[in-house]
Amino acid sequence: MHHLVRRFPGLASSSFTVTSSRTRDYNCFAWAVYRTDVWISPVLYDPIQDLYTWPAGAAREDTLEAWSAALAAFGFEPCATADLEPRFEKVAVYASAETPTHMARQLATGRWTSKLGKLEDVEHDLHALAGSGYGEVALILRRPSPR
Amino acid sequence: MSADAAIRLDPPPSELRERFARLAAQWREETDHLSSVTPMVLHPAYQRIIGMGPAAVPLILEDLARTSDHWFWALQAITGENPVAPADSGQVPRMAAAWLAWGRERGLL
Repeated sequence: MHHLVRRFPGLASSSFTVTSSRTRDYNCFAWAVYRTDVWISPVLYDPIQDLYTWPAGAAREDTLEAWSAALAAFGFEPCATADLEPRFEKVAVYASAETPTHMARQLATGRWTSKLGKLEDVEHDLHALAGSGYGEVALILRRPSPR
Repeated sequence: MSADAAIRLDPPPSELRERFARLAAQWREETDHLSSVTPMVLHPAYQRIIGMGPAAVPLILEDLARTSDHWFWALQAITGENPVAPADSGQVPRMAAAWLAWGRERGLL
C-alpha cells in the first residue's frame, strides 16, 4: 500500500499523482500561494521570536478566521463553491473541529494540488484528503487568477 | 509517584541517545503530514524531547544537520537563544544553517 494511502485512506478510492519528492522546506499554505522556499504557519507560542512566516495583520493562531485573514493578504476572499470558475483560482481550507489543518489549490483542470505537511506534493480530488487526518473542507476562497 | 513513573536524572549517554531516537521517530511518524507548526511542536514526543533539557541539544543538532527538520522551536525553548535572523523566519534551510553554526561555535557539533 502506498504510504500516502495509509495516511489518507480517501486517496485509495480516487486517482492521485505524486508530483514532487518529500521536502521540509515549505508547507501547504506556501504551496497554495506558489511559494516553495518558506514554511507559512502561525505558532501558538514562540519562546523568543516569530519563527515562521505569517502575514502581518492575521492573528497567529490556527482558527478559520485567522487563516482567512492570512489568505486575504494574498488576495483571496470567501466564495460559495469549489466549482471551477474561469478567471479565478481557488483554495480550499480543511478543518478538524473548526481548527484549520490543511490547504489545497485548484488547478486549471478543476483538480487540486496539495503539499502534505513534510511529505510530497500530490494532485488529487478535493475530498480525497478528508477524514481523520485533515477533517473536512471548511472554506473555499478565490481570487482573480494571476496567471 | 510509582516506581515506574519516577523521574531518573542524568541517564547514560547511550540511553539518552536511544530515547531521543525513539521519540524523534514517533514524532515524525505521527506529525509528518501536518502543515501547522503548533500541533507539530505540541506533540507529546516533541515535548518529551524538550523535557530532556540541555543534554538533548547536541542530539537535536546532529539530527538537524542530517535532516533539516523542524527542531527550531525546541532549540529556542531549551536554550533560550535564537540565532536565526528575523528576515530568515520560515526559511528552513537558512534556519537550520544558523542553528548549526551556533552549535559549532559552542563545540556542540
